[in-house]
Amino acid sequence: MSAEKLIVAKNLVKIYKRGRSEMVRALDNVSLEVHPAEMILLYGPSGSGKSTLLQLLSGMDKPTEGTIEYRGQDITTWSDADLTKYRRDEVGFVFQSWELIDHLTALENVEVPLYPTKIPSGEVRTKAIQLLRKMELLDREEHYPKELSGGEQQRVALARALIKEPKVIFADEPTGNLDSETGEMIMRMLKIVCRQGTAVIIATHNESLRKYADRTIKLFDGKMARN
Amino acid sequence: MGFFRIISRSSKFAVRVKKRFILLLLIYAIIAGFVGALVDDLDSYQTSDLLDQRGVYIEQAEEFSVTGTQGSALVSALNSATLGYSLDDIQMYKYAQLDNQLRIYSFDLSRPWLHPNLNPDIVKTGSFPSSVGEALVPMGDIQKRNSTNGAVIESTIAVGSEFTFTTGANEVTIRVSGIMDPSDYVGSENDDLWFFVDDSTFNDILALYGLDPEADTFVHSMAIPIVIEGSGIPLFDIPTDKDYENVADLEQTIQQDYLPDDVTYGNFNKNAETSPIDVKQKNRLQSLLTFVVAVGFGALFVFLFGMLIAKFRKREIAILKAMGYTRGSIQLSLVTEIFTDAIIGFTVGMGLIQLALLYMSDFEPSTLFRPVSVWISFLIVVLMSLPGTFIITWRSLGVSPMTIFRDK
Repeated sequence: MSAEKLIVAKNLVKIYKRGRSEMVRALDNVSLEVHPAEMILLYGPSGSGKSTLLQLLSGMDKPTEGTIEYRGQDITTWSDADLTKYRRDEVGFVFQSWELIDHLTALENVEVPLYPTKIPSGEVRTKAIQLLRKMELLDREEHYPKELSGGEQQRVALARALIKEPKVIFADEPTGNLDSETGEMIMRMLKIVCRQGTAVIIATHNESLRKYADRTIKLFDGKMARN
Repeated sequence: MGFFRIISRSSKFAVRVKKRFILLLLIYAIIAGFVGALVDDLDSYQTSDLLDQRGVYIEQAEEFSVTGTQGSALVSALNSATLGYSLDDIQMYKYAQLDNQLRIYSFDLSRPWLHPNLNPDIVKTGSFPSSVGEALVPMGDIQKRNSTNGAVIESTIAVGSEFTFTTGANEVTIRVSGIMDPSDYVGSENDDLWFFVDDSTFNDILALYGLDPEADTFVHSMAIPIVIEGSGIPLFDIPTDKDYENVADLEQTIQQDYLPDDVTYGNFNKNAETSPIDVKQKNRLQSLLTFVVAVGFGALFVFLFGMLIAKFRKREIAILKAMGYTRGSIQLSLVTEIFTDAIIGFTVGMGLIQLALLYMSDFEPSTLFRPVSVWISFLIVVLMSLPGTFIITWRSLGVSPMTIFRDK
């Protein structure tokens, strides 16, 4: 594990408003550090705050209290435009429900993050095809999401996250909707990505995935139970 | 690179979601046809009514001073002259004295507002004649009489009264559609019976009386409209000060070059007339109408696209935001898709309505919308929809992606 600190989160608190007046404390004073090429497993039951923590670390949401430093800079003070740049250049996100765009083919879904960039179209296409080959999906490149199985959709989502070559990947229940065999395959792929230098942070309620992790953090009721 | 790639991909994706594409296409097609018809109608309104209402008006100084033949000579001279601007169908207002107390006047049925005095404003009861065989008459008691050639007056004139001119087996029947105050018209005499009829009926009655339409008639006035040749875009072709200058120039040209010295064609006391209806007021009304139509449809599009985008695109916006798309990139993507759908829908809608018009008119090409109407409709329908899309999506783009996912 590298001594370099990629992300340092301190005393994170996230409070949601539910309904008209009820306040939900989704995260309560959570702190952690993330190093390059490290795989961290955030594990805990539903409602423990692991997905919320991923969303805060990935810049998709802002904490109510606390700081998140990415390479020494506090992203909680960043503007919306800065956070967009952070998500675009530094971060890849894999959703539990994959969140592929329905009217794009598998290949186009993988390419989408690079459409606004200056990378030539031919290069974008080559990278997308290479990733689909790694995910063993080359024969499915022209299929739409609804024509793919859950495992295939998850692999497309992973390829989409990887095409930007992010420094850190956040995966929210990446095996949650998959059978155990496909789940193992996804985890092996994430492990390979991690070995190549990308930090991977996985939120899951599946304790059996701990074998892949360099470090496990248990969350319960929004609090850190074990590190 | 990224900018053009988003445009090319988004225009390709615009037609891929069949359900959404067909819905948008239908909306655009219906509104394009409707707006096209409206714009073309507004266009016609301006060119046929508004622009004809200015020009030079020449009125004879004394009764029986200008014959129909002399009037026709002046019309020919003016029509063949190079004046620097177009004259459009110079109208001679003729009259003929049928007997001591019976006189008929002519006017142009298709241009009721062309004459500054003889127009719908002077009608007190009923309406200005709008079809062949209808007549305008002065108010007042008319004695029952039979003229030498047989104009049979049955009763006091009222709207709806019919008069029949008969000669042997031939007859021409006219029906009173409106009554005017004779004092509104120069030289009226209460004990005379005057009929103001359209040109066609005027000639029929002359024929019945065996009179020559040129030699046996007189010209009481002439109206010379000037065709406004401005920007070439009718809705925005509002007359300017230059057009009024043209009117003044024309008056001077007629006086100097075309009014023969030996014939009294008339005075110019009423020259350079504009419409009795305030033209500027009408312009303002028209501008307001155009504005209301454009803004009204713009607002409708904002509303429709707000609903559609909220329904179909919120999840996609959240995904793109999560992947690091900027507001601008997402806007560009959505606007390109909407623009593509709008252009296709507009083309389909405009094409169908043109085909329908052709079919209904037995394939008469003149029923097609003028190109300028199509372009103006395009501006209203397609371009106005873009700010709507922009405004609605801007709100969605202002929140974090997770907020959108959570809302879903």
